[in-house]
Amino acid sequence: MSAPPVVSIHPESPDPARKQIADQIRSAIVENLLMPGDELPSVRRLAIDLGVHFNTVAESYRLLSAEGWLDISHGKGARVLRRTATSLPDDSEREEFRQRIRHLVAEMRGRGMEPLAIRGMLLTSLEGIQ
Amino acid sequence: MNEFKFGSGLIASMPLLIGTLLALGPVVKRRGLMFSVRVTPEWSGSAEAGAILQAYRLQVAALTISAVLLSILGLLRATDWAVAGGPLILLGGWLFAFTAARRQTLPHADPRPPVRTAALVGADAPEFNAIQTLVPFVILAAAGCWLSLHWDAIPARFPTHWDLAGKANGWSSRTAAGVDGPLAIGAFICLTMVLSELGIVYGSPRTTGGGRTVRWQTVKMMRRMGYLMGVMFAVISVAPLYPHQLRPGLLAPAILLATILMVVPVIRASSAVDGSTVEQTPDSAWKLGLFYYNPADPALMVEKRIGIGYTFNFGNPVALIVTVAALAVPIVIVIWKRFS
Repeated sequence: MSAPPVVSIHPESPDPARKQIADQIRSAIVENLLMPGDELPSVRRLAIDLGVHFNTVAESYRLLSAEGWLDISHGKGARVLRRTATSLPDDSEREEFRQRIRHLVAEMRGRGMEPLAIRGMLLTSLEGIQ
Repeated sequence: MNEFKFGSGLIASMPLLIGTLLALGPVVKRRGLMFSVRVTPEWSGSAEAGAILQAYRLQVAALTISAVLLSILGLLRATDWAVAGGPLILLGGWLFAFTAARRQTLPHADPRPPVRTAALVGADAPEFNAIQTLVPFVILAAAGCWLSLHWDAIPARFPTHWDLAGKANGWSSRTAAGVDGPLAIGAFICLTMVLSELGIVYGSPRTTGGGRTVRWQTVKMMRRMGYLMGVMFAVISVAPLYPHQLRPGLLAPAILLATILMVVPVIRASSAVDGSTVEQTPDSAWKLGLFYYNPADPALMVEKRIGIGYTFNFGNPVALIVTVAALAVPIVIVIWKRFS
């Protein structure tokens, strides 16, 4: 049995804890590490595990629920949903994604990574995406 | 050698056992921690860290020798205060040695803030088992029934405390409080064990990797401790019925041996764990390196940084309520006994 996906809180990250949690769960779903029907820890359980306030985890779950990734309707834990097609990003949203990738690549280059290594990393990130 | 001499020898060797544990404590503890401070593997292997550890161990060794000598003196002269004073001097002195070593270690704490990681799984086996936790209470209830059935066979007056020479110096009588009292105390202790187990299962962070094994070994240890306490107080309570078979001098070494056997799996799991997978709490929340106070952390219990097992997060109001309640019960009993 493979190890379950994990979520980490990095205190030095510029992103708030609720965004870090939501981003990592979203990534785990997109990369098929979490499958539709999988049950996530309850808000209380994950908050204790990560040492953050209950509201922080609840906000992350609510955000992912609003995006259609999670079902939090039964009020206990959260369940991964088989996400139905959503509206595609419009031009301005696409531009925002492009800018974020651009900034990320620039940061990686700034840290001394070779273009080939960056390209490999981006391709690896795409592997397993449904 | 009768069992009292054996028990006395055991009492005298207690400071030696405690001293050994205290001297080895910081290194027996998992990797990545030294004197309750998160440190890098590079620094913990440095000459400076070695010098701090060596100075600490020398102090503990000196304290241990003093405590053993005092205990032996107490046993030879049958002086209870000297016997009890040995471990007290050792623990008091240890606190000074430990805080001094911690103060020297703190400037070398790992500058990287701890990264908390959690597994994204809903359930985490083995869960709390209500039936298994009832076992010690069933044992105590069975002892209570046995005493009721053989009430007339209980002596009107029976010994409950012995001096170091094995001579009874404390007595109780065949009353409900005198006979069933140990069962009530046992039930209270078993209840605290169950609550501790619940606190760990539902109120402590589930760590990933090797830390997970340590957590479940600790839960198992608490459950087994509950069994041991149930058996111990059941034996103590029925002992007046069997004064020749159930001798108190044999009870102490049996309990000590059982305790060691229960603790070993947790120490082994702690020693084997990879430092990167341990539960990560901030150094600043550890007061004196012993008490965890972090109001921002919703956990009720966290793993200890010194010794084995779990401790309360005193920044959680529930922990304060439970601590006050647990302290109040014995205090109320003592006051009630004194004035009734």
